[in-house]
Amino acid sequence: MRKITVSEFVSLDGVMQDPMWTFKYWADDIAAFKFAELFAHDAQLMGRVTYEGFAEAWPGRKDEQGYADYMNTMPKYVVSTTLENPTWTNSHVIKTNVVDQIRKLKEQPGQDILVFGSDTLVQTLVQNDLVDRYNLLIYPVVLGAGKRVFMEGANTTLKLIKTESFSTGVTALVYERDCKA
Amino acid sequence: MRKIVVTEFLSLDGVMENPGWTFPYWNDTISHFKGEEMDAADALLLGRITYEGFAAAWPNSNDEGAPAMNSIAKYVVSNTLQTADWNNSHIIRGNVIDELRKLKQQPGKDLLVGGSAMLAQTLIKNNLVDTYRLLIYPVVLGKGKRLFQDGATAALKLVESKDMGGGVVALVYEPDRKA
Repeated sequence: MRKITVSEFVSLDGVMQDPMWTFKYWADDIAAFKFAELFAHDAQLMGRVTYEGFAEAWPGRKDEQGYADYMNTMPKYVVSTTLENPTWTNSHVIKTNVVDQIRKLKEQPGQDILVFGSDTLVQTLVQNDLVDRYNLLIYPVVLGAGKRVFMEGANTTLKLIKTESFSTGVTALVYERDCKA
Repeated sequence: MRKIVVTEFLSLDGVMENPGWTFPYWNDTISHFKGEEMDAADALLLGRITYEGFAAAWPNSNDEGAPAMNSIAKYVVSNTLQTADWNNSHIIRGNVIDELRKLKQQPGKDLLVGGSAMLAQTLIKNNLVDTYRLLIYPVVLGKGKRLFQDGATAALKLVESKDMGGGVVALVYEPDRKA
């Protein structure tokens, strides 16, 4: 079964929204982490707001490693009841029966599915126990406001898979679902 | 100047309250981490609720940490607490920020803050925290007091990150005073 990875830039107080506050910490080692992450997946799943931001930012970008090319060509599943005529290459809208459709997606053959941003969708995934892995990049900032990865009421036990420290004070924490819990 | 060190057990979603949920994860590495910070301190700085919980539990405890916890000086910040009976306790009332600044100016080792959500938040807001020692547990709790409240902001510098085993990670930060 395909797994769903939720990948987020997170402040130390758990805020994930509008992560421009990450830019000053960008470094080659973080880039390497993000590159390996993208290429371990063959599809993206996202909410409308994240989709619209990406659909505007990514087309036309190019980099030597091919990260942008892959972002642009890989299939994207957008969960939205209002999005019509998505313009980004290889986009598919999931409009109804969201949880069922996501479950069906997981049952299809393929690699794992990557979720960036998408705070509302992430709440739905967490509530329906659909997240298999969290790739969390923890930034050395406290923001005090903004949407969080884990909202009030979210309750789960996870298994730490690995930690990685980056040169600019950012720490990666990778968790998977704890099957024994 | 003495340092104020805030040390907390945190869930992955930032909850620090009533950390009984940490017990199944206890191990020697975590024990050593907690021992280290006690050794570097010569006083605890606590809010009333944490103080009352500690004062009820530690005097009769056979835990290996008990002798140190019972003998170390404790400063409890409270305007309502009338008496502080736990060995070597002193109440800080009134202009807390001023009193804490004075305490920092005195010669001595670290002032260690454990638990004490409201006090910790006051320290964060007033830029009085010199080190954060955070143990991050692989649990999401969904409710309870958080270390960082809405509105709290800080720019930090990662000092150390360490896999403590059993799914727990230690993250140690200092304020980034250049930021």
